[in-house]
Amino acid sequence: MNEIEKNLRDAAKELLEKKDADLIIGYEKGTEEFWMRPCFVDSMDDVDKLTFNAFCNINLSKYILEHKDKKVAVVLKGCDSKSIIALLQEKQVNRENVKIIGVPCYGVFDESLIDKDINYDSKAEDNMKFLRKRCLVCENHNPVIYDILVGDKLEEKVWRENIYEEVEEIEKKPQKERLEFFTKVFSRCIRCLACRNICPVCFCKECLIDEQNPLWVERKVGLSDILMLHLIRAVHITGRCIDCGNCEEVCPAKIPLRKIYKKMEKDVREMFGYVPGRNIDLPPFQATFSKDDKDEYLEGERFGESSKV
Amino acid sequence: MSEFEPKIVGFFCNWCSYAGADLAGTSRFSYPPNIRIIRVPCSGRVDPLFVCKALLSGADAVLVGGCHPGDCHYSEGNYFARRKLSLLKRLLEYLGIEKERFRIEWISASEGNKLVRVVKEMVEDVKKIGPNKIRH
Repeated sequence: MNEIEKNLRDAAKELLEKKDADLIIGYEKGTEEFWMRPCFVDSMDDVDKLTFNAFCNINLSKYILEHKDKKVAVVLKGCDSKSIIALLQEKQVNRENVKIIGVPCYGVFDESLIDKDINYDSKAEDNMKFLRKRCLVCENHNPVIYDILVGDKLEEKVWRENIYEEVEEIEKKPQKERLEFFTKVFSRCIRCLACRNICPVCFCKECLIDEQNPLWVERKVGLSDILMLHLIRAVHITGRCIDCGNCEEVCPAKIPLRKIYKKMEKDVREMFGYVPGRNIDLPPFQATFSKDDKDEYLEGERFGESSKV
Repeated sequence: MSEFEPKIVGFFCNWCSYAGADLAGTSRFSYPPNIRIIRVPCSGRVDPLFVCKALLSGADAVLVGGCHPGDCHYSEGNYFARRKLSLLKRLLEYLGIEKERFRIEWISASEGNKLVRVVKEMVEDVKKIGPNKIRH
């Protein structure tokens, strides 16, 4: 048991004792080795189930939406805390009902990359090559907001120099190759909608994708409808997506969805100077405008420009 | 085989671009019949997904016309449109859809000649790149 885990359990016990929270959403060990799953603790007996290590990958902020009527405490990493900011900006969560147990984190491991040397207590910073892609470009190792912080604050540093490297790689390709690439990856989509269901910032009760009238996404099998589905998602989460990467990780067809959402994030930052999940007091990005937005942006992309902000 | 005639969908704001098209008509300018105009109350009404749906349902190009920034009938509708559509423009390009297929222009009610010019240019551009192959 590491130190963070101990602090986490102590904090959970205190919250339950003082009745500050009725339910604690955290991680527990799953059925397979190195798989962490969400766990819901509402009694003192179960507190010792709670765990935290560099395999806790899932973003738990989505589960708050299912427990809106309760007082909830939730374990959030840096990236996850940004998604709760997006939810708070959209007034989806009542701040008074939520206690945020922040956990500093240098990254989580990709199960498909790890080898035998890894164990539950392995530190992310010592095993850089096993980190998930999104963790390599993470800018917030410490939670942005929290009520209780377990563990010491970490130094903020980005592992990779250029956080939009993946996006720029595609931007450099000629138009035909880009189309070919996206046609190829999207034709794998089986429309299971796992990406939508796991997305912490997708919270509509009635989703446009399920809509029957008008029929945005037809039921036939075809690339145009698959593209429509993913365009709906991309357009709707613009300015909210905080790159938690869960969509890509649950995708059974391994579609590199982050490549699109990261591109939207890059554009929003470059053109409008807005970074999602930073400031709770700002209105949602898509509900605002500025009279200083430039007309030349309507001309489209000038690929090859630097992405320095 | 006859020459390829592109189908262009135009989303025109009721107060400026649509009136501009009207002016072009009453002033007897002629513009290519390739454009199918859909009247919307304001360019701010144009959801980026309208554009996507049109392109994916077989339109060869989409033109969105609105009032010049600052002239919106509803004060600020076209500012919202500018933000949303400039993001979409980049996204579509990134996905590999030719940039000629989507265009946004500010056309006021007195700019019938600008409308004619824009439509002519678009038809020419789209004829060069050929039909939209993304639909299935």
